[in-house]
Amino acid sequence: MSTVATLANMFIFKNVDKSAIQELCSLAPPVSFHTGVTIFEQAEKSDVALLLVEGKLGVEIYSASQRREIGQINTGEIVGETALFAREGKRSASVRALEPSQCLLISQELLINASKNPAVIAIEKHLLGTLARRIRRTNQETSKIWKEYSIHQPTSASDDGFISRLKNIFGGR
Amino acid sequence: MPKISPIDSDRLAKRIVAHHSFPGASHAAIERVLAKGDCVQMPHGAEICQEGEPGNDLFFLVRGNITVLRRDTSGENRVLSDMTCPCVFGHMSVIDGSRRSATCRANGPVEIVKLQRFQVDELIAEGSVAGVALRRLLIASLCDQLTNANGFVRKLVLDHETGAISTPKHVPAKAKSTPDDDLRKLTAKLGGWDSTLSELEELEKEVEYVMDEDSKRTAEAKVKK
Repeated sequence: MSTVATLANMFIFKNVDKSAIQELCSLAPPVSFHTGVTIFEQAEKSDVALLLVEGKLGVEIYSASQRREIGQINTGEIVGETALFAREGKRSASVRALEPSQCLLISQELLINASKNPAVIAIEKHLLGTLARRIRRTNQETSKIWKEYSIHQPTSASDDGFISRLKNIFGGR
Repeated sequence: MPKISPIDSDRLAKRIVAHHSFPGASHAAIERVLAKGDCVQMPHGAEICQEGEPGNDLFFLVRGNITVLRRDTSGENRVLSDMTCPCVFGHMSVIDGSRRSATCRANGPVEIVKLQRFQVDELIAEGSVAGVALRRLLIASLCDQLTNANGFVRKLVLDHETGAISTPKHVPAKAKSTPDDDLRKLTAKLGGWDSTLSELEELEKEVEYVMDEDSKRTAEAKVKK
């Protein structure tokens, strides 16, 4: 199946005309990665995001000499969007191909040059919803811990349970 | 309903663009967004939005200060943070249809620009200059919220793992915080309730410091192996 046809079948592009997807693919040609290749390295300067067309990616954090896998990216999902929209310009995590993978590179140039393209609008609307859901879920988990701690009233931030639960909601181990 | 004055619109739009980074950001585009909303003045103590209520409006703070409150387990309102211009708030409920996660109260007289949900829905589906600007401003705002919250947690975890408060040299040492303080701060960061420019800049320095520390420790561990 062609990349355009694969993208057209994705939920994110369900209301988008194929010609808009075709234009997206011509402006952001798909890039392939072999299994095991590190695509983004934590703490590196960042300037692009990825839309995964095929395959599977793993997201990892290196902290205090430990490597923690914090999640996986499946087809139709976007990773590295903070590179395009946040003030801080370094990768907060590493991303590695877990399978042979194909991605569209979403760059600042693409967003500026194709801001009216319905496929780009669909990507941005998808990002809005995804980010809002992620924040809401994390906020609910944080509130739950806060409420429990308000009841038990521990006194130290170095409390193991407190730190582990924070790590858990942010994907740590 | 009255619209924001051209002088205020120009000033606010420039500050928003300086505050949030997004592709194609321009103050002229933000001014077009502001022109769509209604400008409202509120007295000290007025509640702009209330925790638990459906969120039907998105707000831009034009002038004044706002106190953000959230109920604790005993039902008592606790101050999460204070916000000053420039900030966009109330967007979470409008985007995902959830109820307000906090109460915003005017601390002194305030002036806000209010965009109704249907206006936001229309704009974020458009390829117009205003549509692109609002969509990207909201994404940038959500990215900042997540980045700030992640940075805060990373710092707490690193402090815990190193067994010491790893404070950057330029930041004065602070008293050790309690989980209650930390969770209140984290909630404020996740909700985008602590978005003053100076706080953001300070946090960015801290996040950068923590990431540099992480990189150093990872490199040291690799050398040891």
